[in-house]
Amino acid sequence: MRAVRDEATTRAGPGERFAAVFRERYGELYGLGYRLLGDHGEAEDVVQETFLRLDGHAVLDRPDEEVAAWLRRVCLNTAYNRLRGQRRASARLDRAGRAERVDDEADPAATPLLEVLRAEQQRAVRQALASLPERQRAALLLRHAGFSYAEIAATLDLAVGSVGVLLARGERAFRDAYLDDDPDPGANDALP
Amino acid sequence: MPCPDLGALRASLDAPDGAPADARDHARACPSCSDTLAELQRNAELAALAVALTAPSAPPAPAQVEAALARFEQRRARRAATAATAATALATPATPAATALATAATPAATAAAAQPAPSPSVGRAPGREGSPPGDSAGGAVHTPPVPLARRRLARLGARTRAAAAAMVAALVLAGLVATPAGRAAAGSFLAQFRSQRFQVLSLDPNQTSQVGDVLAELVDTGVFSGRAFQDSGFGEPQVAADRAEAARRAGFPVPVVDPAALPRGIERAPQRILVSPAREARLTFDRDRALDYLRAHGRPDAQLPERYDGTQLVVQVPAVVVQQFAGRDGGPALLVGKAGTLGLGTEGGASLEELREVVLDLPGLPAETVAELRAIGDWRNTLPLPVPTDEVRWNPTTIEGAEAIDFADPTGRLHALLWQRNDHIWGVAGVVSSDEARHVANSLG
Repeated sequence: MRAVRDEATTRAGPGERFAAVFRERYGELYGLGYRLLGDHGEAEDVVQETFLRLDGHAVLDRPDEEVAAWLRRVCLNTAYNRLRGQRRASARLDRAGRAERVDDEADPAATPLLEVLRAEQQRAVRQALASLPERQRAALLLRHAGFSYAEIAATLDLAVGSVGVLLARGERAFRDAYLDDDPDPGANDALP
Repeated sequence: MPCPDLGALRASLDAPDGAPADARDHARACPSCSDTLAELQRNAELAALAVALTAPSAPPAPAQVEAALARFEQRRARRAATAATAATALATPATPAATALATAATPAATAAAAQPAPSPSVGRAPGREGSPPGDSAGGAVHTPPVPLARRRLARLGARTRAAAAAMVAALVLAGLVATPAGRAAAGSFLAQFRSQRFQVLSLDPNQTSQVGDVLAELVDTGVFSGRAFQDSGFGEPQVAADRAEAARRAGFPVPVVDPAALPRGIERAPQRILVSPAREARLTFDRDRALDYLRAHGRPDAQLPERYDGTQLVVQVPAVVVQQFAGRDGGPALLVGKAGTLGLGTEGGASLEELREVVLDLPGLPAETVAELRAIGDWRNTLPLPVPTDEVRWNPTTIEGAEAIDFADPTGRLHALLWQRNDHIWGVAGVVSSDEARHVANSLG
């Protein structure tokens, strides 16, 4: 997942440079958007909006790693905007869950129970993620999407040394939210 | 070695990517740190498993990325065209109110202006896991998906959607523009608001998104409904044979554009003249739904007078005439527009000012935007133009002594001028420089 600077793209004209960045970064941004939103159309829309903001932006003249961090930051913020407001976020998460279930129910022969359970799990994960503070959520998402500490730090504009504590707190908060009916509520007491 | 802090312990789980491994070594010998590390590991493993559940089952294939890039190019082109058109506040007859009110505008109004017909992606079933967008047989290029707020609007018919978005935008803008309480409601709606000048309202992407969400929800939840719009004539503009016919339909003279003032590469005569006649549109306020909306958004004690129920927001949408000039490639390269002014008021139990207070108090609107609008003094005659700062740049200027606004897209390829004079809104926009647009504007007399 580490950004690799492509000298060919940096020597290219603005249009070629933009297209090269688009091709290189589309997949990872799409993955982030989908993880947060749970809807292919919305995820693509977030990525498209992200690249619309990149279009003509001065950051495009910066090294690839900086462009990538900028894109991830904008992508996450754009996705967060869609989840803004707890009620709306919950409603959308519910809709996303319902939509996937409805989709499955439309063809029961082709959609085993496992798929329904999977959709329910996804809904629960996204709901737990939505309850986290944005930076913790971003750190957790980025790390478990395969980004390095340096990439996380660049995306969130913080020191590499701060990533660990953000992750620790984010993962603990996630666990609390995800296991809302945790049978062992004292399980995290060891953490400071 | 002293006990490492929580971040170092967590990072040690990801060594060598994260922190020094000696933190982990320390933890093996330190009971307290050992417990903490074990807990961190359990939490990390749970998060990893859970987040993995949300991942798309496969990354987009190269062909899908190419299709996405093609969709992006389409969207970029449409945005550029929309920016130019919207900035004239004249050229989208399907949604003249939206355009006139919300130059380069709120997401809802822009969506209505830019997409008079439903997008192919609207209402489609969500893709299954492993089927990213664009993964259709044959690799067809799709119209880009529209944001959620736009999709909600899209549940309405295309014309209703456009009109409803325009009307809600009108209410929000006109409502927000008012100064605080103390103003008596005018006797007739014509006295309540009549646009005579503009004021730009800069919205950052977050603010744009917030305003768009509120607009969409007001329509979506039925706080404002506009069934009558379906029959109110909002639709495609009509082509006029010449300026005389356009003037007859619009009810005002249509200016001659001096060929000598046109930039090089622009055809000397208009390619076509489009007319959207003046019309009146109404939007009905539902008090009960408004209360439901407020209570669902954190205002459990919200109260609204019963007399508000059924109040109609009335918008006098002005006639619009746009002269379209072709460029070298035959496509529209310059738009010269003229319109009447926009009137806004209410009929029923609530005055415009009272409805404005309802709108001002809506949860979700950016506080800075509300404050900026409240600060406008001459609310009865000032039309706020919400301009997304990431998409449109602007500067105040003058055209023949009249206050004007000079818009440009971020690339600098598109420019537009917008001004009001003699009870009309004027606009010049296109793939031209600012000076070229100004030259045309000055020639209109």
